[in-house]
Amino acid sequence: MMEGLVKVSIDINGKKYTDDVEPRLLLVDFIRDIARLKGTHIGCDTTSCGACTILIDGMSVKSCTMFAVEADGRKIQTVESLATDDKLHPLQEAFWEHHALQCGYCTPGMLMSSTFLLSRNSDPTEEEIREGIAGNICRCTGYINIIKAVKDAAGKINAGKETE
Amino acid sequence: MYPTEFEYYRPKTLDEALELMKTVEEPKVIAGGQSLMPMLKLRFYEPACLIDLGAIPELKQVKLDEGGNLRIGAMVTHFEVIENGLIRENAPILASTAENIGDIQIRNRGTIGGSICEADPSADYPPTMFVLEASIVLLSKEGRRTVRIEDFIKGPYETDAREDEIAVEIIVPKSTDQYHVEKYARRKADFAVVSVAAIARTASDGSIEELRIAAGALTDGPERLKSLESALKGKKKDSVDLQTSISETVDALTPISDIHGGEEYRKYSLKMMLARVIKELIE
Amino acid sequence: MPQEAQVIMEKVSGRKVNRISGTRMKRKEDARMITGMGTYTDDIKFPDMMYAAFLRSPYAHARIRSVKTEKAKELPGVVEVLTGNDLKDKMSPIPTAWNLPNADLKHTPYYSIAFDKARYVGDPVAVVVARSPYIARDAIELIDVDYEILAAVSNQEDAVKEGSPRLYEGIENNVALNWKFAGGDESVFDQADVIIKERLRNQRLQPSAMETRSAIAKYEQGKDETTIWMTSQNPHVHRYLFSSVLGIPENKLRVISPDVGGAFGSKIACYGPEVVLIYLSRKLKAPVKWTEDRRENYLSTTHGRDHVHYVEMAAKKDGTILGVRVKVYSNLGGWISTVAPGVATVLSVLMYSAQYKMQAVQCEVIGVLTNTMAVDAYRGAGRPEATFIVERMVDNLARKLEMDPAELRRKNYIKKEEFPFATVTGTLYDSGDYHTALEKALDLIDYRKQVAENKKLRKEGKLVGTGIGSYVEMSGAGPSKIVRATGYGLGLWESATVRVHPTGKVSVLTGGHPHGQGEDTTFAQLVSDELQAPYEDIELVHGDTAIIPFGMGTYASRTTPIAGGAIALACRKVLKKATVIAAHMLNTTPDNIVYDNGEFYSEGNPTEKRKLSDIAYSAYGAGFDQLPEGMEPGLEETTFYDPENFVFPFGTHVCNVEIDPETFQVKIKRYVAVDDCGPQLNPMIVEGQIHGGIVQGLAQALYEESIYDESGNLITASLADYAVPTAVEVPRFETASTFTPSPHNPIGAKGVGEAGTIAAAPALVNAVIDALSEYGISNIDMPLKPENIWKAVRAAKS
Repeated sequence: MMEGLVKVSIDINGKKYTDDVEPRLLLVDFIRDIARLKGTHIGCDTTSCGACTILIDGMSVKSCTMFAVEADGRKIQTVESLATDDKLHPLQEAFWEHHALQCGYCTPGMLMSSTFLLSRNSDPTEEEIREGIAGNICRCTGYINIIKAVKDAAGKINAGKETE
Repeated sequence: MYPTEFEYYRPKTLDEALELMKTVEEPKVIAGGQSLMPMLKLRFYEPACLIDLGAIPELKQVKLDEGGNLRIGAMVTHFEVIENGLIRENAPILASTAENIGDIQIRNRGTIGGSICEADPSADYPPTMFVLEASIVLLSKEGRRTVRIEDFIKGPYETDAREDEIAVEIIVPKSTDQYHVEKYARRKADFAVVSVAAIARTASDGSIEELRIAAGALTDGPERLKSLESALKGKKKDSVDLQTSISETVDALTPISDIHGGEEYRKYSLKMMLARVIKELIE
Repeated sequence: MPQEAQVIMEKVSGRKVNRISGTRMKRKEDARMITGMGTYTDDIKFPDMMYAAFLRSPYAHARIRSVKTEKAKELPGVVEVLTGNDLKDKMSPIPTAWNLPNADLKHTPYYSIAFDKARYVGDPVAVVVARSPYIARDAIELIDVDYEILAAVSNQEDAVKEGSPRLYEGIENNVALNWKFAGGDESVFDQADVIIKERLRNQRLQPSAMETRSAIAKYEQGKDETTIWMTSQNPHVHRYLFSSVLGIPENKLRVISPDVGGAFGSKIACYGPEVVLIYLSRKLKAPVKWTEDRRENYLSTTHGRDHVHYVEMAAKKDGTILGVRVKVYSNLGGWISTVAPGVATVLSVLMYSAQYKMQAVQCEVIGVLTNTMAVDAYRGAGRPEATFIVERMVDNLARKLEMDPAELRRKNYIKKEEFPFATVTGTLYDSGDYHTALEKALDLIDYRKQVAENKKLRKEGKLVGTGIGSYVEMSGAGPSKIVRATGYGLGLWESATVRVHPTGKVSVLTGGHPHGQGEDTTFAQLVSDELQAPYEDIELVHGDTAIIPFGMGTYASRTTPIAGGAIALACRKVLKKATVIAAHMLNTTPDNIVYDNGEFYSEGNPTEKRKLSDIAYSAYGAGFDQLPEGMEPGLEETTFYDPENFVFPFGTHVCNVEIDPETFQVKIKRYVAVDDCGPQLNPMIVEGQIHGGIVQGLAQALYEESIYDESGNLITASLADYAVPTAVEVPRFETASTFTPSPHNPIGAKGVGEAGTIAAAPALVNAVIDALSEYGISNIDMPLKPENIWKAVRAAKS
């Protein structure tokens, strides 16, 4: 191992990625450059925009504001984990249906923040949705369609649970 | 945005951490990193060595001691401060304060200890800690000491902690009095332009039995507004001249001026906020 | 049932639409973006790729005495370190593309890397190439620059004063352009009953696309060709400018712009770093990448607006608006950027008569260089500024004359039957129905009732107000003969190739380069309609200069009308040829051929049919007598569509606000938008453009402001300080449309990308000023943050 490098092993979307990294390597760079999962984006330096939002052990965090070494041994979910067996997640369906994205750059972060929100609150009000995505900036959509999409997805997920 | 190189340690016990604090050069503790990391990435701050407290389980506990005080581990996240039953029961004002911090992602990762030790003049916790008369437990190889929050925060981004000390715990006396926290920020997730934390108790005869008020984001650090407290304490709520008392207190302050708010405007906002908060608490 | 938009479209095109155009199709591009499979520039990685980083000046104005790079070069992993002196003979200065005539336009010898002086905080002073982006960033700190700090100026009104610091030798008082415009009859200002005056400001804004700029240059030595992947709104224009700056033949350069994460005008300009990357990859014979961080993006990607307007509006007592006279100080920043000379002048002043029948427009624009980042196009580019000042003055005039602002507008609007209407500024408005859009918006918000309610509530001490923002914008740039006459370096036509493959599948190559506007979908709808071909069979291709004919790109609300117009014309050419082939196959003449529902048949024999795919197969088969004698094989047509006129979308937005009398926070109670962009290819996408546009307009009105301090430091250099609104800050919108097709466009479309932004700022500010009417306040500068309102109220009270 090169001097100063630290062995890091992170479970991303159910797959383990192990590498020797500099301690200063940002988690988002581990995800993008080492795991080559490019859906997680970088939009700022100041923990403001949320484009890099992922779930770590189920909690939403901004992966540009963590070092990869801090995530050693933990489980991460990125936007690439949402669709399974070619079936989109209800949030993805709803974002598509409601035109909740334009340039698409903030979308992965928005989806992950929304995923976290719905994991804590299965039927959020409009105000709770706004608050739930307040850590994610979108410059294109004006947010209204995103709010609609999250509300709709929540409804569909709940309806799905009832019929099960 | 890439930080400078640093050595990284992730101690698994407090002892190991304290040893590192003593032995390595220029140790810097990283807790949740939500304030520190942007500084590192912008290279406003270039520490030689980071000591990550994330792997020490005892720093993540919330307990109630024999004296009825809350003991909150430094690595407890804002999210847990909001959710924790012990905190909600024994210091609900603290949970409400944490709800105002940043956004969800920041609350999920940021910690109470990290935030207090950052000593950002606009941060959310300090005014609340001031009215709760909380203390910080500092640990080093040399021993343990407990510092009152007002002595702990020495100025903007400056605390009483020595280079080899780690803030391990926040002691919060139980407080179930009426409370109010309020914050004005441009956007929801921003730092405050003005913030107020207050607790109050009125006696059955309508007199103000207890009142503690602190303001944040105003000057170099949080301000406990003791002159205002003493002007009102003991008085009957319908006999106080709130406006005059508030004006006298606020006019004696010298708020900062920046793009988020000028001096005069911060004073004005504080007066308005105080009047509203106090009225609500004593009525 | 066809939707309203479709009915209109049928009227315009004179034929049945196939139910795809005008419907709310889900976007094709979303499939990749919601799954994290989009490809943005920074997602691209090559083996042996190197990373560049730029050392940027920490001073707003400083002479560079020396740059020492030895220590940086010694850092392991560093491959190259170059300074301005190393590069100044290898490349020319960055040119502007808009050589505005009759404006005494100066040229700013601004180099990609500064060698003599740094002129703003963020001006590149040296470049490092290293094996990792972390090392590149480390290395720039090891470069030692000896600066002689000079006095700096960041405000345009200060910069023109005698004795102000001067940015360039030979540019006196930092005045880079002085453009005078006089349209109509000047004497109206003498005949006016009232002349109202106001100093209005369109503050500086930071475009803030969520994806920062990024580029990778890759040199292929064997072919002596360089490809640059980059965040671009206009890849061909970038190639053209890079070619001229570097002296590399255009056909040895390839620009590819993959998915772009928003731009709003900020990815039009030619910047130094991209030029330097091309040079570096050729020198090092390796791929070199650079991606801005947000701080860099704010320091050195073009800003927008920053105009100070001294406005006079002349009117008669009865409310007839006679004209406007305006003096504009436009802050151009540290150099004259790509389209900057046109923004405060042509793109703005030609719209000063707005929706009104004015008799005179007079203007002087003073473009000023300052020690700040260059200012260039930002969503609306000149038109929001024009609309803002006119709409604000109309409201002030209404107050002065004690007229209802809606009534004043009604009285002065150009009438529906007067189109096409030649304005006093020389533009020809294509079509419009301003009254209907206004009435629709007023009905939606129940205007009369609301105004009465406001009056009542204000008496009770509430600060409530209603504001109108009406607009007409000049979009779809533009007729080449007009833009060339204003000094623009190229025409502003658009190209399209419609290629029907032998299997009948269709590729559509467009010179536009949508990056969020959804034309991969709307153009597939359009083509499906035009060709009567299945929507699923149509794919759009754009953003690659090696594949697409020269195209002008996506900005200025031009892509749907101009690129869409080009595509429609190319489709019609394809069908013309297909008809001839079909006639040959069906043994008849082309004028006997009917094409219906994707099938050709002879009028006399409707049972024998040929599908478009049959025709395509024959066109490529080209044997066994399948093609008429002498006809070229293939089924593919290209057009270069040069529009005869601009198109003029319009609409009215109305909002109700309430100001907290204690905190002075503005709460938007209702926001109603009625927009007319002609027929809509996809109403869902139109609404999306309006929503996003409104939020950028309300962000200007209430939140955002780019601030330089007196010594030229950018205070708002992060998203923590530059207040882009989040979901918590935005209101709900109620949107509606009217549909007035443009007679000057092949598909009748007018463009909608900027409309929301143009209308929102004046509507909101008018509402706030209305709410404060008891105080007699005629203006508060944007952004209307609580502090600014508080100050104005305090001043009014004392």
